[in-house]
Amino acid sequence: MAGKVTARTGWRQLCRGSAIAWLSLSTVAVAHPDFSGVWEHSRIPGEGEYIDGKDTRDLSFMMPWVEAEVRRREEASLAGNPIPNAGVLCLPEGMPNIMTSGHDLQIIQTEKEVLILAESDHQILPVYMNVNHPGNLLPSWYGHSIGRWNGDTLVIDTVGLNARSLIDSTGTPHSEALHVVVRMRLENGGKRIEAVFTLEDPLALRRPWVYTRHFEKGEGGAVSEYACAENNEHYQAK
Amino acid sequence: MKTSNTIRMLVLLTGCAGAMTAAEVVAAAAAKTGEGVSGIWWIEDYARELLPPDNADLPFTPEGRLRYEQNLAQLKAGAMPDVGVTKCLPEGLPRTMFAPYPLQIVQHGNYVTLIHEVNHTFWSVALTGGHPGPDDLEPAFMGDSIGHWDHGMLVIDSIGFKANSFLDDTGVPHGTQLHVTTRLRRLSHTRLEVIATVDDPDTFSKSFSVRHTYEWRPDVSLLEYACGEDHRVLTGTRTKGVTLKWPAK
Repeated sequence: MAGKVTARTGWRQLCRGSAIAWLSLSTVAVAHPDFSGVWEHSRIPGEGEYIDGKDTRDLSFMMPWVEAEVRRREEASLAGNPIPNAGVLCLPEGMPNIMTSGHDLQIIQTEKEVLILAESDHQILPVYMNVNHPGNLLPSWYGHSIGRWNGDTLVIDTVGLNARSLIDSTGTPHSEALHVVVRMRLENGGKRIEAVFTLEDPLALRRPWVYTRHFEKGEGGAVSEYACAENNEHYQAK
Repeated sequence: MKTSNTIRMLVLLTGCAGAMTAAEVVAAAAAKTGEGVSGIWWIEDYARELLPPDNADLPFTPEGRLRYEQNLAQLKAGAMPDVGVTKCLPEGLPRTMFAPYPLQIVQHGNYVTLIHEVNHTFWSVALTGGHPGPDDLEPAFMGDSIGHWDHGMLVIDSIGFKANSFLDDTGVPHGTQLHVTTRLRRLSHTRLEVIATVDDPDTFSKSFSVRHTYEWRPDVSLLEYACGEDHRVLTGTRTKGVTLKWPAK
């Protein structure tokens, strides 16, 4: 029987070929900007890990309890006894700090997901493309991130964050109501990312907090291994 | 013209519905397009210990056996921490690959990245270039890995390991000369085979291999893994028809 072509086997072969052709065509990716690769912080003045402008800055956009905590940490730091932040304690940095804490990022881009890998303590932020947030989300360190394309801009929307992570390396706190939107687009011929962060938190911020960070295309295709808990024994011993 | 194409498509679809199942269509397409090893996988036959074929004993050197027995005793007495558990440091190879948690494999560009739920560890495998020279090789828990495809099998060659991880969940030690070759092969659309070959002259008298199989789990998303906290289902989707497999730690 082997190799004998009957009407049924011929029909199956036709179907098989058609299915392959249809699936192949249906999986051709629509051309979106390619964020794949390793990205380093641009180190542009004013775009650091910490809130800049120590003495002159206006923190009136923060609720009093948030501003008080920022001032408390600042005073402790100036007194030479800084309060450790998430990165120092090897705690999850949460969103958006996973993207702004100063270490390299690696982006893996597929049709269904954009995976942001942080060199800092090998943290992972999955962004699920073209889906909605689940309705029954429990608060977590990284929350739930969805993505969509708005022209050439990748829009990442994160909710479901717990109130234990810190917004930045300064140690700015937030509530579980924090809603983070990051709008990312390529500049400079694809060698730079402009990322505009918009943070809304009706329990912690009086108005949306908008800031921009830039990332430059780095060397190599993958970030290095950085295991946080291995390197901060001296902090743990305190 | 448009109408006749639509009719042809309807005829084809109607006939195909009887001739092939949906799974067959997907499998046929996958076979043709070379789907590789991408996807979310969950080990089917987790074991705390490394089990070579026929449950043979691990070929320890006398020194290697002594160190293993010391590890067993100290771990039991709490005199030695398992830093993979206590500090959630990357658990190295092949331990990470054989963990009882799901992993996601992504093929992208000149890399294959294996993202492991356990200790949120990602393992980057470069498909081009070689290992750095001895002077440039930075020891890492997950080593330095390069890979190539051999007739649909992904072969990963890993060297450059730190010596303070264990090879399995029981505490099998290794030295800095550890060399792990990991072979990943799709047995079918829904099953993956992984064979890890361990070679470490500091610990073993000869190399040995351990095999595990994995189930394709498109219904599963990797969960957030926060060290020292309960491992939680955040959206409820993981519980549908899935028994959470807790690590025997």
